Amino acid sequence: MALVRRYAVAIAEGRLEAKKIAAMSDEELAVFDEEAFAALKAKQEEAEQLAASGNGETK
Amino acid sequence: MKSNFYKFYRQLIAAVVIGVFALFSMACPKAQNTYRAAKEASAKIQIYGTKLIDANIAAYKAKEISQADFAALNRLTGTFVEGVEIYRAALKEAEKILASGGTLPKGTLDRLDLVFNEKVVDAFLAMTQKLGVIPGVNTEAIKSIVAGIRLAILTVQEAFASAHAYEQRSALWV
Repeated sequence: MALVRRYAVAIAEGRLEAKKIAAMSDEELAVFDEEAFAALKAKQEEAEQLAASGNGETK
Repeated sequence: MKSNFYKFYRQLIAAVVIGVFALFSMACPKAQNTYRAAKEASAKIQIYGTKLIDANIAAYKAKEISQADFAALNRLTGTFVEGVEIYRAALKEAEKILASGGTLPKGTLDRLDLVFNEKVVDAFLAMTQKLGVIPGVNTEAIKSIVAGIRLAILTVQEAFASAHAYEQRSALWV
């Protein structure tokens, strides 16, 4: 069940951030969008590097 | 292989940009609202995507998913990120046209729609399908987990559908 909860927490956190977007001005949204994409790419690169290293931790 | 992917889809971007111009050069609130909806949904998709990839990383580190499954998920999320990048590039070009005005030939909105569905939506569906077959992961929980991204995608699709309908009714198109 830990895995299920992990994904549930992730999406709940995402929803909180998503609510802020509607209230942003166009300029704020443009800046936010750039930062969000940079974060997305960085996270994907982190995942790929981790997979390449085969460095899963011991539970 | 990745550079070839980018090269091909940059060419595709050039082809669809005209469609974006056609959509967002409408000198009326409809275009502004559609662009804003697409922009907000793009930002939300990126937020949820980052959260899900982070959850994949944490799950792998905790050995809750296997190395093979983690690698497979990474391939899928990588495709998703590339699709988002292509879509964002098209939106940026639209933003320039919004700032400068002008009209372009009608009927090209379909191309942006196609890019979004083939790059972002299909990649998202592949991710959710993979999540659904990983051992030990509750299917019902996955459905709720990916609801955020799905809702954002539907928002974009609805915005484009509305713009399509407007395009057909509007006398602005050449």
